[in-house]
Amino acid sequence: MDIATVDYWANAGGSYLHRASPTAKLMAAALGLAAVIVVFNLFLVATVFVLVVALAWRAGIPVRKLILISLYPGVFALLFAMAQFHGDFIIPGTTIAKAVGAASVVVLLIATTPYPRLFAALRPVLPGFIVEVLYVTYRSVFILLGVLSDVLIAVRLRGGFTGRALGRRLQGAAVALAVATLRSFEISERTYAVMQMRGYSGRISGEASGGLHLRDVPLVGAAAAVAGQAFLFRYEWRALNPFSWAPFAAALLVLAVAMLVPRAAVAGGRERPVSEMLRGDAQ
Amino acid sequence: MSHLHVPDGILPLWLILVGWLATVLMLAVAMHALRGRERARTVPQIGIVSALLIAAMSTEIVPIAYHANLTVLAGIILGPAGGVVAAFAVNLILALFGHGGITVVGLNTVVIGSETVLGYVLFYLFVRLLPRHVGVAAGMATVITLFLSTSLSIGIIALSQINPAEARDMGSLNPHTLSFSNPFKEGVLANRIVTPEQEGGASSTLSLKRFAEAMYALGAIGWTLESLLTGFLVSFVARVRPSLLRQPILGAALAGGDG
Amino acid sequence: MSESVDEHKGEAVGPAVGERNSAVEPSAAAVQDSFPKAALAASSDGDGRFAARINCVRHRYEDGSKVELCGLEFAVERGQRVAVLGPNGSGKTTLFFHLVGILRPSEGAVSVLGVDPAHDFAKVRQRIGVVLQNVDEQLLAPTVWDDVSFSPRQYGLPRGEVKRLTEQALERIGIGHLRDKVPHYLSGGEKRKVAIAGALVMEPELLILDEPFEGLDPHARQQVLDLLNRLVAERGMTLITSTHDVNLVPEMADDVYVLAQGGHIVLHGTPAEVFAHAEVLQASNIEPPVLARLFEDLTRRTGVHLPMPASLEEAADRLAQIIGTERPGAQRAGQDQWGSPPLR
Repeated sequence: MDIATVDYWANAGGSYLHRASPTAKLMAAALGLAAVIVVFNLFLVATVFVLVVALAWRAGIPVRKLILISLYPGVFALLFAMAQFHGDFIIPGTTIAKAVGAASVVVLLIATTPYPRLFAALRPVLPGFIVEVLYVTYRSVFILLGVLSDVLIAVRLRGGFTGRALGRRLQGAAVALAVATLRSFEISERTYAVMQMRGYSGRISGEASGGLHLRDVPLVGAAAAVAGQAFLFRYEWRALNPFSWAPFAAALLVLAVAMLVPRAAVAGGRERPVSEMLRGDAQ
Repeated sequence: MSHLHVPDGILPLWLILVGWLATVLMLAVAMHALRGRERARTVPQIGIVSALLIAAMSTEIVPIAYHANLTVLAGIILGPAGGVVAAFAVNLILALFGHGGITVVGLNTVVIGSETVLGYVLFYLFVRLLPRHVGVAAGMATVITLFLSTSLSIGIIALSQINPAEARDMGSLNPHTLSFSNPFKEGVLANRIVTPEQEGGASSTLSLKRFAEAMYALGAIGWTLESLLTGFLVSFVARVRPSLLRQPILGAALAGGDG
Repeated sequence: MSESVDEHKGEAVGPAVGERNSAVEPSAAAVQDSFPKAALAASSDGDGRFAARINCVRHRYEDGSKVELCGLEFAVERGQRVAVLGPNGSGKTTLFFHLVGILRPSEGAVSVLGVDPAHDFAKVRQRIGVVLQNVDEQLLAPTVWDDVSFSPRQYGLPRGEVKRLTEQALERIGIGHLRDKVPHYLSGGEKRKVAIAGALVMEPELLILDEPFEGLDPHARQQVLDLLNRLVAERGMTLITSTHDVNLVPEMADDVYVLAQGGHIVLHGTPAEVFAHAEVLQASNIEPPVLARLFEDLTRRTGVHLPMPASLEEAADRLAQIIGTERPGAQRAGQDQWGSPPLR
């Protein structure tokens, strides 16, 4: 399950990006998103995407998987892109690129920041009740995925899901979901009981909302620069569009450097790429 | 496919903001409705149902084309207030995962939240008419709810005026003339700038219609599957844990029976 | 531990194997009449002698199935270590759920630390630590530290106190190195340790553990067992557990209750007494510990009265005495292979 994979990446990694404060990463992600959304220039969208790939590489995130996950919204952008198609591939292409680019920014965020830490960072802007619900939802997803996978295995072993018939798949899914639904009720009741017994008074996590540190400045600064450049290109498009290849070329250069400089040389050798851990760890 | 799988960067900023504003209002109302209840009870119930929805939406029954939504089920179990909160939590978590745009979380919450509310209202209406056919009532409620929410989605898209998919709307903004242009009309490498005067093009109201047709067509398949699934699940719950349906607002409690 | 006195029966019950003095279920009617609700309430108010009592509780589940915790009275004195044994589906978990107020009986009364847990658990919850069977559902917080510190934080204790209590609990269970880990990446045994730490953090008077050793390897099991015994000895903590592992029972309980299918309490007494009733145990699908069976068999065959040993070390001692050829300096049985002696 993808969400479990990404969660593992977020928890297992120790790169600069992983260790940056969640608030800083949220800000950087917001700036990156703004950059993607504001421009309408394939080069500039691609610039952001290439930078995301470079950052992912350095953080040890499996790049191919990240790109695959980012492509998912691209499929839906296809529908909108087709509505825009009037014999010209660039416009629809850019629409799809924007979707994929935006998704890549967000997936990088979640691949380097465990959900609960993100929730904690969002505390200043969300009602406390909602944050609590988010925490329980997050924990419950993993409990339910466990339940679902057991049931799906059982269904598969008993011949459900055989063949590509939609009816069979639907049946198997229905059984799995019925079991999951029932378990959900029981789990929620027991969770209520446990919360009561342990004296729940409204705050599951003790984590502070966390601020910014000095070491986050490069990250946020770089993101601000990218966003600034995007805004500039958008508003001064007449003058700047002929040069829109430049940021893209710069991004490619950054990517090349990122991939060529050995990871151990960065950040005092304390980095341990997630991809290495995935290969080496028994999960 | 009622979930607005609208990626980022397509809808205009004002519409995005309206979506967020509407979400804030909906959540405020929902939280107000829930304020008297014990947090230790509401938090796990909404959380678990949200998790159920996320797990369901991640199980591709027909890859890409259909995944179980279960929003109507959520509305039936949690009631409208809980359903709206769940809609937001689900959308936020999925969006953070890249399964949908992050900017459109607001609009998505409006669409999905209204599904939970509508599902709840219609189900309990139909159940009174068909007390012995709980599954059928749920199925009917689902079809109607999804039809309405798909229409809402299309309405939102229409509002965004994507349909005049002309170069003008898709190019960069010229703040002086407030018009858009396509810098790549001649191709990427040619890289020439199109001046506002050169823009033109037929109006493409046809695009919205085409889009709507596609949504309704695909949607109809999705609604059927979803209503079959929801009907089955609800009748299953009715058989095994009827108390959950008797007290729709946040379900029944522990055996022993307090609310 | 003092010999158990079943006050309603007026007998002092001795510890020897072979003497059928332990309580076996009398007729149901007699039991019901002798324990009216009022008497129960009156005898265990406030900080009385009993930490927990259940008086013939009946519970009907939504699907129609019934559990009747009747037969012998379930009464746990303060400072006792009590184990509940029974086959799956016998109602062990139902009993525990009633103790913590998750379930409310259709009939009968429950009293824990002087209150009715179904209504007033909140009044005593700071003094009770609970770990239910499914640990996953009890690990609510994002990290281990968050989860162990859950209760102190909820009760609004000052930050320094929260830190002290949490660190203490983590160290006691030996999971300090897990403090920043995320629950769903822990092994089953680690999760259980975290849950136990979370239950102990507020230094409770009463600890209720449903299958506390499930998922733990032998070393961890011994660690936890030693810790629990130490807390009981040092602080007079009351311990109520259920387990499938009968071999551990002599080491972890002074008092044992055996349930049959449907919840009937059919045996009550010290481990030695209870494990002497082989037929009753068999009906409940329980096999007495190996040592008990061995000594019972030896007693029968030799005619020599051999009291059931409470631990492996005691068994080895007795046998060595009988055989008479113990080598000086030999490793004593009962020292576990990691070198830590059992807590006595």
